[in-house]
Amino acid sequence: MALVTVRPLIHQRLMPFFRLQARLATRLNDRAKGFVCMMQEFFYFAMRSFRSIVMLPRYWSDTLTQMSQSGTESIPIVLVSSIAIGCLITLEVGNQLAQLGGKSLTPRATALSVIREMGPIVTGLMLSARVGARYGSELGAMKISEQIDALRAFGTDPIAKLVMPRLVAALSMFLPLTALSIFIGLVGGAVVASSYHHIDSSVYWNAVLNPLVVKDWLVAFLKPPFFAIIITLVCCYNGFNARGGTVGVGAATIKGIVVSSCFVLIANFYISKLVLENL
Amino acid sequence: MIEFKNVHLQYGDHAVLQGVSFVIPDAKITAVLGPSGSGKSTIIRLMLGLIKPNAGEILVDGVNISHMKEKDLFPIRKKMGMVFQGNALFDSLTAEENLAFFLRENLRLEEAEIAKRVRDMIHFAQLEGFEDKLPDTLSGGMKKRLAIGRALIFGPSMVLFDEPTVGLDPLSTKRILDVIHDLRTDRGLGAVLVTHLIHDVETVADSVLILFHGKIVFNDVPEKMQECDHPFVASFLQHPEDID
Repeated sequence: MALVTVRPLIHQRLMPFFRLQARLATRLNDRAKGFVCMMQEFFYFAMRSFRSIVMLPRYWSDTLTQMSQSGTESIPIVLVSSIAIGCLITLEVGNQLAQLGGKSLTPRATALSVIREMGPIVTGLMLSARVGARYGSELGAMKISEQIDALRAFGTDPIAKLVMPRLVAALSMFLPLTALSIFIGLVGGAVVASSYHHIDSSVYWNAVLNPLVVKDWLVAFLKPPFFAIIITLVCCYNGFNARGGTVGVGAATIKGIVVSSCFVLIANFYISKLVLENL
Repeated sequence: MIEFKNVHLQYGDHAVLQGVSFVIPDAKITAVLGPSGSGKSTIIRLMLGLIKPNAGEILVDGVNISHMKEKDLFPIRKKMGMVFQGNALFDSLTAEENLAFFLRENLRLEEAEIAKRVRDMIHFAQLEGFEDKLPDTLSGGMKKRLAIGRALIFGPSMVLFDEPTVGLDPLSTKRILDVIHDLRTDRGLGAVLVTHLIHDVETVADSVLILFHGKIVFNDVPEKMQECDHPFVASFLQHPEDID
């Protein structure tokens, strides 16, 4: 008799917990489904963007405009950030090495950091912010104002017209921008090495350039095309899926920048690891 | 002619359209009336193939477009011009460039032919003297007329209007409704007019579909709306300003 009355009581007491558990499970299930659907959509979007590269001759002028906007106009921010990074690395590394009596190794340490890692990654992050914000907000505003639907309604493929030129522009401009960033970073390092650490310029450049091997350049220049693909596709995809007015455009832009920056950092690590371990 | 056969559309748990069937004849103005969120705009997006139904068939001149691929839809879309609620004009292009944009994009025409068609549309939209202006510098009525001009650029047989008079002053509203009326009488074009304003329906529509909770509750000439005994239609006719 006692058992009969106690069991329902326990059930009754635990019921809110069971309900909460069920609600959590449903929500998790919905989230997981949403994530899988989003990934599916993203890969389809990416595939269509690459497939529409065959239409490049038709959208050549759009591509040139994008090359100017995402490439040429990004030079100032790349210059400022890379010179700052080059100067700082030389300053800090030189100070640490001086304490160990190895100040002469400063140029080599600067070169490896700037060429292999800091040049590409600073350029990637700066372009993620500048170019990614531009792509996300432009396309988001077009989506909100139904311009993307208008393109489709009048027979123009919005991915070929809007995403493909941006993708090609990023693929062709990120590499020279990274090269510029590396060069300017090394110049910044040379200035600090000579003025602060009193290392002669010719000694610096000899120590920077002579020991470099193909692997170093490979690590540096394999990264920009991957960054270009990540930044363009992630930011354009978010722009294409913006909804909810101006707030939605802002949210889509931010999401694009945050997600692409994270993927840039992850890709940077794996490309470095892959090349350095296998070559 | 556009025909919907038992069309269902669902977003997650929300059923937008539940087994909707109707026929839109050529050279007639059909109004789609209903409260916000009843699926009115969804209907014209389905007609253009911008979204796909979950079930049912959408026939445009006898061709089933419900599962047609994007690249095959262009010949169908050319038959229908679309005027979006917010006009969807390209804000970095001038009025003239907005009209020429899709001609350059999709038809291999000589520049002289493009210029001629654009001139005709500028004249139709009564925008002479504003050819070089950006959309942002035009008034609401002018933007709407420019959007209608763009919708007519491929020479469609049907024009789809999404809330064409929303946000316009009474004078501009009258001009736009006159334009819609003239398209049918002078050019023999059909139109689908999505609206929540009874005034628009009474002024230009030949027939009216009323949507409520994703279902068609009335499909007849506007004059017969008074005879409809559906509670939503009756309440709407008593308080047309309170449609939502």
